[in-house]
Amino acid sequence: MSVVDIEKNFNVFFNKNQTIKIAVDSKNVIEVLEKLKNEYNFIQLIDLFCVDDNNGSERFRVIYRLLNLENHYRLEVQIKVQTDETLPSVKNVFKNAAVYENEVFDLYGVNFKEKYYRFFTGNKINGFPMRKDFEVKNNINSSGRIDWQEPEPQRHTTVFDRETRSWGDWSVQNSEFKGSSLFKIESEGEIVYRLRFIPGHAHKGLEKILENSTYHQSISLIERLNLNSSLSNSLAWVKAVEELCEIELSDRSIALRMIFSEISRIYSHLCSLSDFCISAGLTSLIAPRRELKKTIEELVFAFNNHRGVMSVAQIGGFLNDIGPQWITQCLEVLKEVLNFQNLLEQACTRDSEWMSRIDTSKVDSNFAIQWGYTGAILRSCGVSYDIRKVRPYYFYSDLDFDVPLGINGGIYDRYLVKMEEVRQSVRIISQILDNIPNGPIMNKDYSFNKNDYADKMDFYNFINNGIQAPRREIYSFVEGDNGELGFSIFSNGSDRPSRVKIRSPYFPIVYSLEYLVDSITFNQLDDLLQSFAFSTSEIER
Amino acid sequence: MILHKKLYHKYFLPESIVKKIGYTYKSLYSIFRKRLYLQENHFNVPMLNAKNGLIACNACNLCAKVCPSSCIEVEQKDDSRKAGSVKAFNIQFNSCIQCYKCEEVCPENAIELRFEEVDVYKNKGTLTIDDLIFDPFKKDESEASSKND
Repeated sequence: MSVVDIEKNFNVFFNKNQTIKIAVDSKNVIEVLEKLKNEYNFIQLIDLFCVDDNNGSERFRVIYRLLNLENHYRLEVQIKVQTDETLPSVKNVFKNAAVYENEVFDLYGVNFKEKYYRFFTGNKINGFPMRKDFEVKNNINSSGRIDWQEPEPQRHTTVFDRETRSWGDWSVQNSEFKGSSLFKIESEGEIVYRLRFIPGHAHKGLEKILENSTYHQSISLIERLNLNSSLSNSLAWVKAVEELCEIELSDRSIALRMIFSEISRIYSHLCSLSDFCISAGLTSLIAPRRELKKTIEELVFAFNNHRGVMSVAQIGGFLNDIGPQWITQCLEVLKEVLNFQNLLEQACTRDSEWMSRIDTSKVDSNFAIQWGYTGAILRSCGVSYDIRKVRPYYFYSDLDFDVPLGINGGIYDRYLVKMEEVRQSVRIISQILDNIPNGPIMNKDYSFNKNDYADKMDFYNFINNGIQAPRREIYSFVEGDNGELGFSIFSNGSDRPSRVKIRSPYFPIVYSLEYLVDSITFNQLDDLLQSFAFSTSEIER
Repeated sequence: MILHKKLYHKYFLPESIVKKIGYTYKSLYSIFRKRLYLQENHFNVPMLNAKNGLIACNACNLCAKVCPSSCIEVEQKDDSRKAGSVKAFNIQFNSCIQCYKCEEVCPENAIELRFEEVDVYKNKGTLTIDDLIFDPFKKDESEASSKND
């Protein structure tokens, strides 16, 4: 499809509830995307990835996923690529495209006109690991390293500056930045001038593992993406599989899912906020934070008897039904949450010293949209976009809740927005608890009574054969704890997916930090990173 | 149960005093054991339930199918699908992520995750069937036999 065809058929795009796919020739990509961005307001690039079909000469497909924030339209632009072809880079149209293109080059070997380096794998792997014909044997160097080239000095600096400033390593070792991570920083004394994130230290190849595992197995792998929000991760994956196979849910299981996804939002927001305050010097919050974490974990433990990672999701419904005293326990936990929030507010919200220390590196709303920010971090810049309001899934359209917005996009705005979101999700939970619908928790086709002999044989067959998904391509997304969490699944009719792409909210944000850091102290840099609350396992997958 | 309760009303009888001491000793002992757990190398391990030496597992291979890190290997003696038909059961404990999937799936309730002491460094972390049997009744027999000797 070219530019002229888009003008003719544009009325097709006005569809709120569907993602529309268009196929474009690889020569016209830049033209088409510029047209879509400038005239039809598809401002944000949400995702960019590659699929290996492994048939003939036109083997790869590169997919651009666009979003119109004003009217909430979604668009999917597909390009077919030959093995030896070099694609034009869309770096100048969308700022975050370069990072995604680098990933595609690294894992698939699709060439772009821009110069990219292998940032996930380095010298460790010969060949391209995400291709279908990749063999593990004889292709892995255990002594390999990840390359890093020192960038050129900034233009406005003097010769004297270039001699005194130096590049060095800096790694964050606190509870919030989970997993191993490495930053290179340019500093002089106590002042940091530039910062660059070096990926590749926590890359597991999760998307490759998901291709070889059934839909049941992958639930507990995806829980471990981000340990602070394990509940909402697994619930999002289960929702994606149900959309793929068109499984209907009972009302009771939907209500329970909403409760648990809001609980995980409370858990992750409060843990990240309190860690942020503790690192800023308020050590009196350490003991109450530990108690709050324990009470919420016990609430989930009363439900599923699992220690460690909290897991409740099941395809076709829910793991268990709630017990008789669970609702009263839940209400008590909500009271404790509000008490803890009051403690936080008394300590931090009006502390003038703390506010002055935080008052750096504000994010422009234009910058945030260009770099693919989503969720609470985008809302703190003043953009009102919440998937629960805009395209409500489950029962969110029947509930009363507000979407808090920030003004400046600074660290303090992020703090205030997250605090208000916790209050709103407490409000949502109390509304659902008032009228939980009755009925079964599981879908009829997926519920088995283990003690019954006739059911037992069905259960054997079900687990042995797995869920046979139809041949389809879908993208399902939810409002996760940290932003838009999406799964695009490509199934080929068997019990395993042929390709899964995880749209992790933090992936583009880390690379945008380069442009936010400008002559700040180490303490302020620590505050900046804490306020985002990254987890490396979610970034690198 | 009601008969037991009658004893508590007679506080100063020698029988009741002995029984009280027994109960207090039990509770104290349990606290002492918990303290020990924290010191030693204890992990959440998928264990096989057994009764008097007969393992409840029927080697149906569902747990190995479901396991996301594929760390379970099961071999069966016969196709009888009865208790005790398991020949070999290995777990690579280094790759176990303790996700409780095997416990959820098992139709015989043969696997349960228990907080037990494990030699992780033995055999590069592979646990065989002898390490994994959880048999409370058999232990009592062995103790009794040792006392008799």
